[in-house]
Amino acid sequence: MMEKIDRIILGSNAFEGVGYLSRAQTRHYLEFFSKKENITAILEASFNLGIKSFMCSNNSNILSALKDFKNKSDLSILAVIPNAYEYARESTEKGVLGTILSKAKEIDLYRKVRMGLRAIQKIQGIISKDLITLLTNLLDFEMASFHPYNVTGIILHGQVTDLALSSNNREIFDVYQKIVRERYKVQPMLATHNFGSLLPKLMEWKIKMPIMASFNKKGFIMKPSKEECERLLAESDYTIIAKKVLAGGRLTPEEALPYLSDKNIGSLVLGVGSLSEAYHTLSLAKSTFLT
Amino acid sequence: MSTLDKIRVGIIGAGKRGIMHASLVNMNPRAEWKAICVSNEQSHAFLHNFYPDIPFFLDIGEMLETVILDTIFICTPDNTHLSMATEVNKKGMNIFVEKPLAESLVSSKKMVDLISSGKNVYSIGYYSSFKGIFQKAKALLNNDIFNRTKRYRASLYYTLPQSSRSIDTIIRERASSFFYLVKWLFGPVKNLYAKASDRIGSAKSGVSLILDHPSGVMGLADLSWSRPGYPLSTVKITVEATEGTLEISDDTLKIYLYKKKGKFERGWTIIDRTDLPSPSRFFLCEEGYYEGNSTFIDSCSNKKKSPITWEDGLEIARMLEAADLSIDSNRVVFLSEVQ
Repeated sequence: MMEKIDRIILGSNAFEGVGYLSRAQTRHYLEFFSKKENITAILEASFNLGIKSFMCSNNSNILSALKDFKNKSDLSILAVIPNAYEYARESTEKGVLGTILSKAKEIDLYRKVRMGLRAIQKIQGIISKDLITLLTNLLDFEMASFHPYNVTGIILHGQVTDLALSSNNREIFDVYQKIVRERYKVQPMLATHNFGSLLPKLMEWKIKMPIMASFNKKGFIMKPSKEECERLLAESDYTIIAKKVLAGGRLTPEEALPYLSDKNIGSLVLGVGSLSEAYHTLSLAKSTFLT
Repeated sequence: MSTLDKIRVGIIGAGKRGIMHASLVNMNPRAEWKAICVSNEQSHAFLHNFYPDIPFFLDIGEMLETVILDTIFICTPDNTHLSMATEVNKKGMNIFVEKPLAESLVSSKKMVDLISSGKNVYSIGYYSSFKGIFQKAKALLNNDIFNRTKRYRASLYYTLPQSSRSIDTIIRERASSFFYLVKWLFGPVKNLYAKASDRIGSAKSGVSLILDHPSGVMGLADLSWSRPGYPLSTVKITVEATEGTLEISDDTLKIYLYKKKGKFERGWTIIDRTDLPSPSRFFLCEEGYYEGNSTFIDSCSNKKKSPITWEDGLEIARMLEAADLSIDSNRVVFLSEVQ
């Protein structure tokens, strides 16, 4: 049974040290959110404002903060997999496959037991010639960390979605959505930086699942163009989740949110970098989108 | 465009860059990814799941014999570039190699010696010149907004993961990208002085440099890969000129003019990268990659010289060699010495 996606979702890019405004902002986020208390404080503020969906990867700081968050059982988690930033960094020297194998081997004994699987066989399964086994194993490794939480959706990271899109291989998307629906019994979703290329391809393949894509007044990372993305959005009957709504921090909520208010958007993800931002941005989003 | 007109691409190397180029080629209407050569059966078994229609090879020669290709992307470690380029070049194909051109100046020179008489296109993966923010900076410097450039101070900071095993390769790759950006913005370097505890590849913390350009511009550069908080390579360049200053970073340009010039007012003007046009129709990894890849494909289609050539790669190899020689000898080294 698939649950409805909340209208407003708290994002976690800042908590992972991902900033789109400047490298200085990235450094600030890395430092500030290395203290899990700072993440927990924002989770609490957001929850108290009525935002009960949280989108995050299995970043270790975020998982530590979630563990301490007292309302975690009432929080709906949208799990972003894989943790692409870690993969990208490690694959510089280990290669893509080497990184995946190394990540799989790093899973601790506790989680291997919790997975209820013969983990070593799964590590070997990564190099299987069977796409279903391979993707099942990769998903199991990534999702093991989310076991204690109320996961209501799984989002394929934008970098991975876009790589899969460029492979022009329908089966990857098909197998992914089937595994998520049948094995995890939650909503499969796709993140992308290339909405204008992904949506037409999914329509051609008759594959339907929610898409999370950049939509903002500045056209920041709206590919192939802002106009094309807006045209497709208006005509689409897909559930669209807007991300990068504040154009990576270049727009204030007052400048950014009205742009989306008349768009065919199902939900929006808002990341915040401090408590004051959380109260300001999320309150304004509530008054714009929930009233 | 018919299938026959498309540039037929083979990829050598299935690491991060190999997969990226294959993906970018696949999204380019003027090109078609036709084959890939991987280093082992394990990679083949893994990747074949995602690309079932692409022929995989373990041997370059076999790939070149079996599949009709026009263009090869070499995305393997730099110490393999020369041998692979030599083999591919015998087939008369366009070649793109990831940076740096090769593992040494000697090999880089041999790579440039392979270039045949203008028939094929040879390029290298320096992407900074395709980023809108750096293009705008270069345009401002070239358009005399600041009048004469006097000097610049530049830094490249990066935090190497503590678990890194291929320090030498990573540092050389980052340093060569930085040198390319400096050369592209300010022109060739005449001589340099470098100070570090060890040679560039094995220096544990970083390198400080003084760079002297034939144009009279003087540069100070600080390269560090041990500063915490820099998971992404971070560049900052402050240019001092006779009529103002320009601060260049990966995300913004800060212009300060002593008096109004053209559309720029006296005082500060800040340009964010999102204020600049973004011509790419597909986004993968980072801005600049799609543009670099598609510019090379365009050069192959039109049989024109690539805007970034192996000669540029050789010049960067000279700069790396000169920096190492300067560190070893504790003296100023002229690039003409390292021919």
